[in-house]
Amino acid sequence: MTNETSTDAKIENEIQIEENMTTEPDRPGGAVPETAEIPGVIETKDMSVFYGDFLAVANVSLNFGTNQISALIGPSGCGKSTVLRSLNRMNDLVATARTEGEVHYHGENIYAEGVDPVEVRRTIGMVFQKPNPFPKSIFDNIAWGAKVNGFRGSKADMGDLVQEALEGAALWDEVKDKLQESGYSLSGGQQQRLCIARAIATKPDVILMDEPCSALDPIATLRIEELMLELKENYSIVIVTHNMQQAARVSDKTAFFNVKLNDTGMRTGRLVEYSPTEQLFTSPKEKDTEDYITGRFG
Amino acid sequence: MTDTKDTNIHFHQELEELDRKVLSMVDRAEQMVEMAVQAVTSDDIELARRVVVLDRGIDATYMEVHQDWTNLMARHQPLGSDLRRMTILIQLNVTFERMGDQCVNIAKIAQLNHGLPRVERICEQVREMGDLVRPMIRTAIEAYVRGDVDEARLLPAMDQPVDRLNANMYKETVAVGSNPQLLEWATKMLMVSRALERIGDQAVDFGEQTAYLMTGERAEFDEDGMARPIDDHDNI
Amino acid sequence: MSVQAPERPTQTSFPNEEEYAGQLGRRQRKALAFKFFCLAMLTIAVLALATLLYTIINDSFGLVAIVNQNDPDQVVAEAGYDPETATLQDLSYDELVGLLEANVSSGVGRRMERDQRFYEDRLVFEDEATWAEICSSGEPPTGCNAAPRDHSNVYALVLERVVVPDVIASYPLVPSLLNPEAFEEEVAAGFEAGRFPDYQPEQAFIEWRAWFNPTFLTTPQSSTPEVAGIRTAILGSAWLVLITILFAVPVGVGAAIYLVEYAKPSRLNDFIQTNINNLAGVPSIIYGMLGLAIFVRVLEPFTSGAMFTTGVPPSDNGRTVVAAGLTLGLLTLPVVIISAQEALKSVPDSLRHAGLALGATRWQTVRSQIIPVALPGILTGTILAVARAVGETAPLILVGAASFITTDPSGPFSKFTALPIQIFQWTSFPQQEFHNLAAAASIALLLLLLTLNAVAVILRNRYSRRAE
Repeated sequence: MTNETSTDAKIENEIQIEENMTTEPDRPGGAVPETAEIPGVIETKDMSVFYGDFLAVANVSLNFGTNQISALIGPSGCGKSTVLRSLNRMNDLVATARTEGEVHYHGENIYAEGVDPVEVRRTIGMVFQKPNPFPKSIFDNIAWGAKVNGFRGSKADMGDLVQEALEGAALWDEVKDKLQESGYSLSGGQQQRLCIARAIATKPDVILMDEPCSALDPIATLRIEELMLELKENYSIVIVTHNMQQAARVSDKTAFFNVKLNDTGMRTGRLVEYSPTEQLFTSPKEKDTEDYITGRFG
Repeated sequence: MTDTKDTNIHFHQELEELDRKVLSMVDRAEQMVEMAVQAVTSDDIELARRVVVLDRGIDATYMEVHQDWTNLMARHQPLGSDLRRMTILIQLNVTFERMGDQCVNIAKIAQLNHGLPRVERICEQVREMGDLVRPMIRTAIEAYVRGDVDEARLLPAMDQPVDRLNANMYKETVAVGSNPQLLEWATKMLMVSRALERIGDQAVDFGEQTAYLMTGERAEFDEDGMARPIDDHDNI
Repeated sequence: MSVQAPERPTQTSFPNEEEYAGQLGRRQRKALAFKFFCLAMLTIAVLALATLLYTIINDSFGLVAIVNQNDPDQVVAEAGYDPETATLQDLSYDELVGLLEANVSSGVGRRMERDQRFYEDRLVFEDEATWAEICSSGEPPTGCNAAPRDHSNVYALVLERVVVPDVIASYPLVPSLLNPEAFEEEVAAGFEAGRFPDYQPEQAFIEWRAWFNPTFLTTPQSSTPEVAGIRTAILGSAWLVLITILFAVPVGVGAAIYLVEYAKPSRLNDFIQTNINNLAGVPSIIYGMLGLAIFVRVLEPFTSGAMFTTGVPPSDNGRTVVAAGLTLGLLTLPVVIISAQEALKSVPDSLRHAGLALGATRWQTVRSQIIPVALPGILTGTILAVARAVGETAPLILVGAASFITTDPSGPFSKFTALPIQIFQWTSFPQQEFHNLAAAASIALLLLLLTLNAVAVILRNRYSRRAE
């Protein structure tokens, strides 16, 4: 009976498919192996930052890996930008800022006595939230950083440096014919890439990015994220972002900060969890993290 | 920290709705198991027909859930436990739809076996398998709804008698003798047994998904209900 | 026509439709009334300014009745030229000097020569021996060291001493345009009333006179209003502007840069800032007193030029251009500091952060990124501050601007006069001609200020366009 055979066949097929289905695909899940704790390019040791008497962020110990992208996420006021700015001593610009603890860059504490912040900032570059190119030509924007750091090469060498930086920032093709035009003539996304080129022109090995895409449209944002993934090969990147999906897309490890009220009513930021990105966003270790990423957050 | 309040409430409400729909499928599937076993052991083709009708409801819900799930993913990009729940819901969607299909298979066999002679022993064993499988489904549902991993870990043990009964069914079939009609009936009942065994496995699978949701670790249950991480995997 | 909103549930706190319509009318009328009130205020302001301009211009042009003691045509003829084709100004330098020799008493001539020589190589009125004697004395007259006179200088002297024009009556611009005959009658009446005893009615002729004319700008000061000009005053004011800028700009901009870029907030800095803000409002005469005490008296060796033996000859006291320039510099300093501070503060911090984050020192960042952006603001503020200083009179009086000086300032250590001083002095004389001169000098001062302001605007536009 054809009915029969077709039903039988169907049942047989079902069984076959069932068997296939009960085979769980190999997933890189299960217990997530802890990344071995080799000291990364920047390491904070029990770092706290005060603005006057206000403890902005407390006891942060983080290890940022070499040639990795590390993201700092958390609600407003949790201190993530403060932490980022401490890594290249830009916090020094705030008159009342005071840092306790240590920040080790290639093993040396950058907050030790006698360390010149100017020197620190040469090899730790920074890109800011709102693109801030200098009111100069595109060429001069990039050349200036090299010049102030004592660049000694010829004009041709400088031209090469500028080209290299612009290529590294995926901007060269778009501006190679208009290097003398003002930096302001570029679109928002291009300006931000110009700022990235400017930062890498001084040959840093770390790039700090403070919400680099929050002023940009989605396409420009994606281009910068792509660029970050390329830059990872040669630089170590630490990025502060409000956008969890962005952190999920680009970073290797993510640190979640939360703001906690202490007994005196002061809102201090603290590090809650620092995990590989995939783990933090699918199965975070801490309840606070889970609440934050699912939006169950007051 | 201040009390957590849900700032993502619209998504969570929609997620709850999706959850309900998926659970409604397994509720219905449990019903269908009872009806299908009854139909095939009592030669009740009217009951069998109703099982097939009920499956259409499951299929419709399956399509809806699929669409809703896709829309939720696109709109909300969930993370953390929400993401894990979403991943198991889509798998459960398929699993329960298959459960329904297995019940339909049983119902169709009931129709095919209509009028054929029966062996009571085999019918008893099939009824027993049904009585074992239905509580497994219930247990799996309870474990999921309550987020109770320990309860979920009971499922492998509950599945063992079902597996034994299924293994035994070969012997029973062979023991039927050489009457061609009986043989036909008995081989079909073998398929019923296999279908019920599949349903049992699907219930265990449901339990494993619950464990993943609650712990964040993907693992298979071994016979004692202990989680075994998936490194070396033996094909079933 | 009104825009109707869709029917909404009424709230009792809001007016209903009719009430609203009535209120709306009242509100619109009130708004209109306020608009016209402000317009009226503007009109008053404009009228006040227009009146000022009208007064000045009215007195700077018009009809004059003039009598020449010696007809210039006659003088030209006597010198051997045809009056039809040649004027007095066409005569050569030597001829003009010759006219002076012939017509001026030796005492007056010697005084003229002592103020300023006629020739580099020979003396006209003095004899060599006396000259050498007085020049090597403790207080040599200015003529010993100053450059000799030039053509326009001697021409002015000739006019003053040989032609001796005398304006006996003058008439403002608007009546001159509208009713010139009235002036003729007035002059005739004046003769009948015996107001002009020295002259006969036939000697007087009426002509148009522009008190403000190019010659006015190039002629030095003179006690005879008919030939007086403001050259000395303009040069004096120019020197003052130069010294003010040279002092106030580096000091002020430098201080502003420190206060904005380097100084950390502290009580001391607040104190300094408050004081700078207050000093901007201090009356200029206080600065004059300060200038008198310090620059003129205490720093006399410097301001008189006695410390410097080469180049510019010293004066005999500290009442010199440099003292007044420094005083005005102090006056403008607070304003320069404040406006430079504002310009620097308006540069967004993001540029500073960007510069520092590249590993630049603060000075590198300030010099290359901040100052260029702040420059239009700094320039504008500075020029406006200096423009204000150009018009200051009180401190100049105290510091000793000479009210009558005919020699151009030859260097920073010269005696000097300035436009506001000149205007002040001329207004204080009773004769109408001096008031005309004052009005003409006011026009010159206003034009100078307008030019400075225009330069400020042009520079600001040019630099802000570049920054875009």
